[in-house]
Amino acid sequence: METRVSYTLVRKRLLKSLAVFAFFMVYLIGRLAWVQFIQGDELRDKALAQWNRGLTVQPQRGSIYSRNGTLLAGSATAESIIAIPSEVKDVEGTAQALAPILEMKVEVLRERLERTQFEVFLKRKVDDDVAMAVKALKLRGIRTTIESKRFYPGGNLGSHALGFVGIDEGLEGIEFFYEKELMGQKGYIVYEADARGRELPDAVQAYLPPINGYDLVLTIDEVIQHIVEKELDRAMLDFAPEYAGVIAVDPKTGEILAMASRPDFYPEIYADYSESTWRNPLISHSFEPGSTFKLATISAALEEDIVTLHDGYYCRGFFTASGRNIKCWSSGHGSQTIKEVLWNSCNPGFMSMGTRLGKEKLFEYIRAFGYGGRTGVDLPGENPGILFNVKTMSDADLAVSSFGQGNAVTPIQQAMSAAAIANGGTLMRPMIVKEIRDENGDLVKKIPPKEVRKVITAETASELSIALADGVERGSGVYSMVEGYRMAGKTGTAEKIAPGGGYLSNLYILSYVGYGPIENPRIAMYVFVDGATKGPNWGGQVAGPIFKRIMTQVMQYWNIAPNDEILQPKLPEEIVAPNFVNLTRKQAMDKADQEGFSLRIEGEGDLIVGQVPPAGANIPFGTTIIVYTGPGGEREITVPLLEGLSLRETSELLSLFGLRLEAIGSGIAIIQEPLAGTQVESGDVIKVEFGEPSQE
Amino acid sequence: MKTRQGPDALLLLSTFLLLGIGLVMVYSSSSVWSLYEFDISYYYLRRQGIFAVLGLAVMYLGSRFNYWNWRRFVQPVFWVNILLLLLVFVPGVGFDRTEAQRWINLGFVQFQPTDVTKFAMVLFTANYLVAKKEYIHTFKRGLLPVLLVIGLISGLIMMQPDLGTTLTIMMTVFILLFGGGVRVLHLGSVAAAGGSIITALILFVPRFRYQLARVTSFLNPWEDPTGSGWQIIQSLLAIGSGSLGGVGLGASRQKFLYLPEPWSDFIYAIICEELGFIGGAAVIILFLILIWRGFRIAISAPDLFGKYLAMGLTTIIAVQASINLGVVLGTLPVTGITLPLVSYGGTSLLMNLAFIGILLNISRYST
Repeated sequence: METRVSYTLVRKRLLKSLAVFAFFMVYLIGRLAWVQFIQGDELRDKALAQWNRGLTVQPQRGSIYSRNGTLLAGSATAESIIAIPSEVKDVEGTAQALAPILEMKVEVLRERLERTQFEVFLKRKVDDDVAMAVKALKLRGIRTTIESKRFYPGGNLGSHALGFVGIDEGLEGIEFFYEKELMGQKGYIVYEADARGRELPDAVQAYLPPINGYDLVLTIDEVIQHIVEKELDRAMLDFAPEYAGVIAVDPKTGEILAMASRPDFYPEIYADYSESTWRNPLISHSFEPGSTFKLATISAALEEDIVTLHDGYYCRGFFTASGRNIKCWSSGHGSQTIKEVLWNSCNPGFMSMGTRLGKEKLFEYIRAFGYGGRTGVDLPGENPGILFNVKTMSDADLAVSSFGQGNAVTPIQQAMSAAAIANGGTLMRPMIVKEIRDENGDLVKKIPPKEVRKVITAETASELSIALADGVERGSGVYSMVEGYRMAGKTGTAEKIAPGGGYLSNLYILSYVGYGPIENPRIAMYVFVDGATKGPNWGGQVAGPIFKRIMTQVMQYWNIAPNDEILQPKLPEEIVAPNFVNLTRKQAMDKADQEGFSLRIEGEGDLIVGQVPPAGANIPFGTTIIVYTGPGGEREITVPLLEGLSLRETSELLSLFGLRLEAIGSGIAIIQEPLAGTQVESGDVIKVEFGEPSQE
Repeated sequence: MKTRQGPDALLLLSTFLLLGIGLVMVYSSSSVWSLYEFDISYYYLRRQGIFAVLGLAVMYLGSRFNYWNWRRFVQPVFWVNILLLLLVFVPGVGFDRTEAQRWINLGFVQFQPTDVTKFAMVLFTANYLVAKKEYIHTFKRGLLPVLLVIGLISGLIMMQPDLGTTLTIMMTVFILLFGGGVRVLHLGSVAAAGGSIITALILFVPRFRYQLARVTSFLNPWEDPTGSGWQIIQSLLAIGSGSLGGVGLGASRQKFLYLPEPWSDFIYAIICEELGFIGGAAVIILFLILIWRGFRIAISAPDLFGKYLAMGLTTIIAVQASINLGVVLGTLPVTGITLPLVSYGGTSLLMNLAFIGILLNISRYST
């Protein structure tokens, strides 16, 4: 009986004990959930802050080499001064001692030394003598740690491609894009801690060495990059533009051989430059391309058998789309072959091709050439550009797209699409890093060229290359022709879009795209000069010579034998000055571009009101023709020709001249009063009658 | 005589799972350090693995050894234990490994004699409760003698001075005395007396007041984040980083620097960081199953000695697990108790597996 009672008691007490343990375990699960879910975010942030505080040892960042093996970006070690606040017994004395050496305020140091952190950076990446001086003081709780400091032996060379590194990580360019590869793996300094956690760590117990970052080998050719940079510097002096840039690629692989733009910066002291300077305009700048875009239109038209190069086209000086007469830059080229349309850069000819192709087909090719989407280059911040929406665009939009207006594209897209024609019609993905190597120089990864798509057949591409090269050699290409080599090329002059919409009247983006030698294209290049404020204002004489000079030097560098039969065309000694009066700036520039004149435009207005020497005079070839625009305050204004313009265009044009519009009817301008060419005062009213265009 | 059956399957299963999780996490939390110190990543894993294999053999032997025969070993185990506790103070044999624990070096292996003390005290108390079952409700003949013994043992351990282990053993014995029928009034009085003495010490002796501040720092570790709050904060940062699914096996950041010897006392924090709430809760549930089976075995044991022995062994594991988890989760003061079956530690693992073996043996005679 005694035993049985005891058994019951024991059983009861066992169950009670079990219940206490079970209760505690369930409480612990609740506590775990509380710590992980309710306090989780806060604790995670604190943990992250602690890990980033610098108990780590930075690995040496990988170097960046050109394809020739020269060092473009490297890392040297630099020491950082750190403090372990809990070890610093004499805060005031320590702060006083360090302040002059570190060139820091005593208050700042005092605040840092008193922080309740495990470790605090006092000053990062100091010079060797500073680190030595700090170490010589043998201050308690003050240590140094080795970090990596970035340097760029080439100075500004390739700054936009390379980018730069902040305190801990790449922030722009290749340094940013390949952060993971360059960074390496952090090492750790480990401190001894008492198992009861009652004493703060006192001595470094262990050091886990960091793993250094990988090296990158670029596709950039150091020599070509130097040539390009030198020519850009010259262009900046000659034309004082807002921006200028060159991108050169190997058409067969898409490897970027050179990439440079102005204004540039010195990556070691990137913070001294404005943020807008850091952006790489070759991939981030998107603008209306102008005539260089005609390559896409003619490629599509030839590929789709809409035209052959020998077909005829008659230019009347304008092309009608959506009831609008869109003008050619000339008063009319008359009868031409399609090849001549290309050579003359005849806008109606291209509008006709674009219209016959239709929106869907033309934009299918435009997209196939890589416009309207990122090229996929291994650089950060690429802009895809903007194309018309095929579903909502008008016939006029289609027409202007055919000769390079209305769509925004980037320099790299233009370079790659020209390279595609050079490469027998196959578009490549541009690339700037070709190899990743470890610190011993052993290959980790080789990045192969990548074909994007076949855009046009090799036959079409070859036919177009020859036609383009013929055009260059026909005389108007005198400024861009590379003597001894057959080069395909096309100039472009694009109006700049004003920040608020509409075009800026006096600033242009002058460009040139080309490749060669066409028998075996080794290099394709796009050159642009944005907003030149001095010198000639047209593409052929600004961007063309840059292309020519770079190409000439590259051909010599590559030891490509020149063909003596390909010579600069003989130029006539004297020619007759053409008329520029009553042309718009753009028309005048296109005309000068095509006919091989150097033009200087004076004045703020859009319409040319006078020229020196006058039309019809005999002048030596190469003479600069100076033209004047209206209006000039109280000066007399020549009334422009308004016939054929829409109401909106008329109003815009007149407001440019400081004239007022009195409109009658709707449609396009038919009759104007006073007549074109009449001298009037600023602010005068021009009566314009609008109506249906007369049938032709 | 007593009928034999198969050993308790759930107890065996939860033991294997905890052991497995322990091996994986010892490797995960120690590999980087091991590589640094010994040029191989698996130094700690290998040692823990060897002891796990040895421990499983001991567990098997324990499960085959009829538990009532342990009554014959109560005296020898007790005296060996006293000898070992004294031996740690003999120069050349005993040594300080950490500030508060003393170890014995046997050349090939170092071990903490308190691992033996735990077993010795469970065996002694279980036997005492059976032998004195007629007087156990009395204070003088029932409770006082065992209090003197536990006082002596505690005194020896406190000389190391290992407060955490002392508390573990005292708590285990108290729970065992409660299970054995000692009057709650008596136990309560003893606890109250102890409490009064400690309160008086804290109030009147400055040194103890200072100690109290240290011990209670877990209540607000952020007051002294680089000092006494350090480990608790680092543990909570690890756990908090884990969230539901954890940062992934092997991906702990806290194990690098912030938690010293993360494969030891704070291995549970690394489990919670790498495996998240899912892993952390699983470990608690496995311990819950283990404790539940242990107490079930005690309830079903055919005789009083079997009941007390099973209860005592289960309680030893339960108290250690509770204290360790409570410390790591920031609800108890830091004590230096490892997580049974999971934390790195050769002889401790060996002893815990031996306890499981004995429990398995008792389970075979369930009524």
